[in-house]
Amino acid sequence: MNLPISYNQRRTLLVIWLTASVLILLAWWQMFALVSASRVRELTSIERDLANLTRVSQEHANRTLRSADQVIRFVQSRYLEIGTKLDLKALTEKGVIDTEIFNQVGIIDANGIYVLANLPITGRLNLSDREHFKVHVAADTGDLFVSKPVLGRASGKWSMQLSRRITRPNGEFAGVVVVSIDPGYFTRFYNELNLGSQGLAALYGLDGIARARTIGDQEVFGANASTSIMFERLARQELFGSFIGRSVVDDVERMYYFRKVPQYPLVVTAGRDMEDLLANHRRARDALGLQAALVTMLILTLATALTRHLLRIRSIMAARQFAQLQVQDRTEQLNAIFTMSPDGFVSFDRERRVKYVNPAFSHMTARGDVRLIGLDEHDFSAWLAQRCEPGASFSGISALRAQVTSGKPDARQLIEISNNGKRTLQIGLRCSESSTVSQILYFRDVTHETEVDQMKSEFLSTAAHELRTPMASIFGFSEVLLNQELDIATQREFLGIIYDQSQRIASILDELLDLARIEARKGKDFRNTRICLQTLAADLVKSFKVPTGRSLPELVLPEQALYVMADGSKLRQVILNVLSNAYKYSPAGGPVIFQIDTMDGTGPVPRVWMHITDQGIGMTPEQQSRMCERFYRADASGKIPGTGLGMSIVKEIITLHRGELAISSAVGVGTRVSLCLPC
Amino acid sequence: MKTILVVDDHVDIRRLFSITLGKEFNILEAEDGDSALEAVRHHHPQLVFLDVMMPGKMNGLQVLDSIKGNPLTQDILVAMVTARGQAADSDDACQRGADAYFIKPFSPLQVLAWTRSKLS
Repeated sequence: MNLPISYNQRRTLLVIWLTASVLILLAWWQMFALVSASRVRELTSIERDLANLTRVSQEHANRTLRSADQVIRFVQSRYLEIGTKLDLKALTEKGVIDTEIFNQVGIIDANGIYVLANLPITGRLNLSDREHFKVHVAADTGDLFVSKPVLGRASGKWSMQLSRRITRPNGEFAGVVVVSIDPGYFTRFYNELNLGSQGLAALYGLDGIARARTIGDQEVFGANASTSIMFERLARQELFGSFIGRSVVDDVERMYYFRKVPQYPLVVTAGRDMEDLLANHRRARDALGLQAALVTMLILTLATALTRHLLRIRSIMAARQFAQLQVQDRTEQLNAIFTMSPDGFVSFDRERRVKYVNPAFSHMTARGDVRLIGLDEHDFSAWLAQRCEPGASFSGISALRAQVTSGKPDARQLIEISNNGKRTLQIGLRCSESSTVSQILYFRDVTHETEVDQMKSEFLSTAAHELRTPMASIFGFSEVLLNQELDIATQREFLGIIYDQSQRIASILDELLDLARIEARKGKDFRNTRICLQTLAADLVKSFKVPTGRSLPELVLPEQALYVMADGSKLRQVILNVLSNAYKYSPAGGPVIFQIDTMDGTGPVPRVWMHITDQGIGMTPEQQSRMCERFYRADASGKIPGTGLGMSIVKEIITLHRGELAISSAVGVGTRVSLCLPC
Repeated sequence: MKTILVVDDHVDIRRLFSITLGKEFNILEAEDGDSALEAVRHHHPQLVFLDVMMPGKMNGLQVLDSIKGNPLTQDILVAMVTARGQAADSDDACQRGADAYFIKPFSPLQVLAWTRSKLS
């Protein structure tokens, strides 16, 4: 079954998923923190390496240039002293000039002709178009000029020229001292440091042109990187620094470190391919990512499992709650049944002590304040037996149980209790195997049923008696007639008796059937119509057969016509029965008066009273009270004919018309029968 | 001639007894318990035919008790004549000392035969 999720459950779910989300965020945040820390560490380490490298490189370049410049200054000075007699080859061979770091050293005269060299000069070599010559012709800066790498015409190798102007003491331009250096010399030693296949080591002039540039084991000279951010920063007087960026030469992303070579318009730089140097970092990052993903999955799995567990608990709780509600519902139903039942119930616990007594039981046994709960069955039986009438006492629960266990599951016992008159109770017992109840006693008040049974039996007995009496006359007199010689007068007398008694039997049977029909149908076959009482009374009186010598009933009627809703023939029967009694029970004569009152509007329903009054023998109060009993005869002498059923029929019909019957009578004065009907 | 008292509230029944037994016995009639006991005291009949259900203060069984309970009258034969035909009723009457129990309708010839057998 589905129950809505409660506020608490929703809150718990929210806490679970919020915690899960926070944990996942933390895991990923930690992962990113570790990754970026690792990257920073890696880059810092690389940057430090590159800084050291460029420091070495800077010193190397500086030293190389200083050495070369010393040689240049030495040659410059010697040339000024001795001119072309200067034997550079001899100086080289003697070791005065150290040629380890450069290819050759030579002098270009004022005309641009390469006049002296430590290596043999083949032919007349005019170098006047070369930059390293031209800059000194143009101006005397006093600085060492470092040329762009060029493919040497003399050596056939890439070389970089370092040159100084030779100026005579009178300021005249005397030529240029040139030293050719292998540009690779500045960068080649990097190769022994593993900078990776895309690692870079370079020496740039401040003009942006690479004097030497080595990538991996490839040497490239003369590349133009003047647009690199490095030169902007050098222009801002930053003498060293690092940056990450794409190379303007080969578009490879690297971390660079640069250092200005002091006193020379040169900058050394080293770079490492980001791709390469971050490979380790990427592996670490991927591993951390995998870990974070695993942690995320773990957290999600846990949160899902918790949610499912919670929902399952909720479902179990809901089922339990539903079951509890059902039990509660059933208990309430049973309580209502036991409380409201007109039948009495007494339940006993497993020790056969009274556990529960319902109100009906207390009421039917007039328990009063007696405390029964906790009594054992023996004491309870004794208590109940004590309340019984002597002739119909309770035989005890054990006797009832013996009957039940011997195969009479619906064994019953009738007892009589004196409680506001005599009550007849039927007791049944039901044994139970339940864990809390051992047996239940069941009490039903059958007083009414018993009385009805008794009344039926008495009625049958009375009816039989009433039929047997005329039957005795018929049977007896006919037997006498058949067996005795009788004179004609006696025969006629006996036949008259037989005839009268036969008629009596027929009348009794007719009236009994009439009464039974009225009772059975309870007025359902009445054909009610609007009847004018004055008209009905006048008609009845007109056709009424009065006994010989008696006068017709006197009518006393109101002027205003009165109407009732009634079955005409039944109402006629009622009035005829009463009128006929009035004549029969006033054998001494006297008037019979039939009076109808004006309408009585005092009650909730307007009604009309009719009175039939005689001046006959009258009745005692006891006779009046029994007058409507079946077969009751106020005259028991048999002198006044009748079945004893007429007034029973009157009573039934009037009652079924929701009317009333009242008698007022006095012995020797007469009787007044009053009938009331609603208008 | 022996005297028989017939007690019944119905005149026709009393008439039936007198026509049946009148030729051989002296018949007295009473219509209720009181007059029956009075007749018993005055005439001391040999036999009483006694109806059970009668109007008045005493019913037939009370009259029976009175006759059989009185040493002066307990020798009088009493035959109950009644419309109450159940075995319990006849047993009750016999226990109270009734000598016979006739159920209405009865046969006058049988009543005559029984009376002759008892009184002759």
